[in-house]
Amino acid sequence: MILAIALIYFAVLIVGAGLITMRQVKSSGDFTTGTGTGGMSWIVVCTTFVLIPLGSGHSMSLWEMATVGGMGAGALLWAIAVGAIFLPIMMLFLGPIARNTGYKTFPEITKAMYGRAFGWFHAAVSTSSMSGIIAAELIGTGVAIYTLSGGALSLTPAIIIAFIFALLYIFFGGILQMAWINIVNSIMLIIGSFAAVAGTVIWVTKNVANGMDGIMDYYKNSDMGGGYLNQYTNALQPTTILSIIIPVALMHLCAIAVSQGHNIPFFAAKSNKAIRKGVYLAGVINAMSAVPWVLIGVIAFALPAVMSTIAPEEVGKLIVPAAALMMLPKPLTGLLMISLLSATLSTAGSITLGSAQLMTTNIIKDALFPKMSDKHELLLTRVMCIVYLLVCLFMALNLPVIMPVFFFCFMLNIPLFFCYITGMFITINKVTCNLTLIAGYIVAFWWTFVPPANVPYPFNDTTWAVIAVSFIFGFLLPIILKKQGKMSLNQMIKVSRGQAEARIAD
Amino acid sequence: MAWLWLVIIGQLIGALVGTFILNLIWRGLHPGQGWFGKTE
Repeated sequence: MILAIALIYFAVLIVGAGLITMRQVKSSGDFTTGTGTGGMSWIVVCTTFVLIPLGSGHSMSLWEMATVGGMGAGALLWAIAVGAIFLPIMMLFLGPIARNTGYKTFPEITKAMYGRAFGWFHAAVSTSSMSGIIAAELIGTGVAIYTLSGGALSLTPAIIIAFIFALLYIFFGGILQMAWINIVNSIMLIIGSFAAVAGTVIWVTKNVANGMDGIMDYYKNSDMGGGYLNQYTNALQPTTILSIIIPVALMHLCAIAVSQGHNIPFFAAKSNKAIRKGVYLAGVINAMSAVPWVLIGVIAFALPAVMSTIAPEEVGKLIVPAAALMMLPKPLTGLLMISLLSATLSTAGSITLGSAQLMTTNIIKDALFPKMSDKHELLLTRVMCIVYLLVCLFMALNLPVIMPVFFFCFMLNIPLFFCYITGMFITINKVTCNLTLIAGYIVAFWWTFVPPANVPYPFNDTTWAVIAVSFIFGFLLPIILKKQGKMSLNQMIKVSRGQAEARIAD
Repeated sequence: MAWLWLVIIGQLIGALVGTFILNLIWRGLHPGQGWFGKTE
């Protein structure tokens, strides 16, 4: 019943949006960046960008950290970091910068800086590094579907259903279809998940001694740091900040700043103003969207009645779906699961679209068939969506661990990020850029697979080591050797615009 | 029940303050362009 509500909702929404937008898609540009529509307005940019970085990491991982991870409400600091720091940095600074170049993909930008081979390399690294995220999203969606079926469906067919929905999310109308679905889903995400919190509170008030204060009493008496809210301060210990929060935040910023899938709304925006205008709305929706999952998780964690229904090793994964099944009326559980699937499917859909675009335009077309017609490019982009998602499905079904692979893949974007930022603003130097890539990847593999002894803290951590090496070779060295390098891309754009304006004035 | 509201309102304030500070930095770097950028 609950599963049927959620699946019917998505089927109707996805097919409806697909049918409306499919007629508007006449070229590959329409499919990937909506070029034929005059660009996305601020509200579409805002809702699309809010939902893209908001996946299973913002919902399932957070309730896991809040409960079995022992962080309590402190897990919400992650959502503050994403909603209040990362989103504004992207929407105010990095998004408009990428859009100003006039190119439609990141490898096109880096190709203009460092040559064709670098563009191919960037496309290949970016595509493969994002596959780990999609595998995680497919598993997350599969777990939700599996739980809602009450075990009637096993995990494998549930993940395959997730694959089908992720593909259909973008297959017919590309970015236009995704934009329509995301507007509806961002509203559903907030309404559904907060309604579920209200339902949970009502259940607790009726069924738990001392109501919501009884939940607080549980944490005060537990060994989780002497109180539920104290977890905020526990999460802010210097070692936690230096070893976890800063490197994870920097790694995400570096990886996502040069990820095509995450930047699609910026390339598709009507203007820079359309990117910036929704920044407050985006920050608030994104940061608040994590609250219900964490709240329901910490409430359920304090209730033996809910905990007794889950196997101990599955508490982290299943606590919120299990709590919903026990405490909420069926329509409300359906609504909560629609919220969860809105979060996970939008991320999987947009990254699939971005990766298919890079594989088609920046690798296959650029390297092998430069004269490919637009019709064939559109067809091939759709085929690549299927191929790419099938690879991610294979990973989701077969990899024994996802998170370490996911983080390792993410780390490979750090040297690319430094080459991108330096080439954009300081100087274009191919030699230092190649050195950055070689040194960065040697350190990434070395530190991960044969960790060296006697490296001082915090550089014994792989992420810090890769950041340090990329900073030295990708940022400091090009500044020292600035005379040997070429003008930065930003300067080149300014000069060519100045020349064009001078010609018009003449 | 108060703790629940504290978490929700705290998160809201956190999101607004963070975004406000970054918007302030953006304005400092782009003088005369207003909160959401008057000119392109």
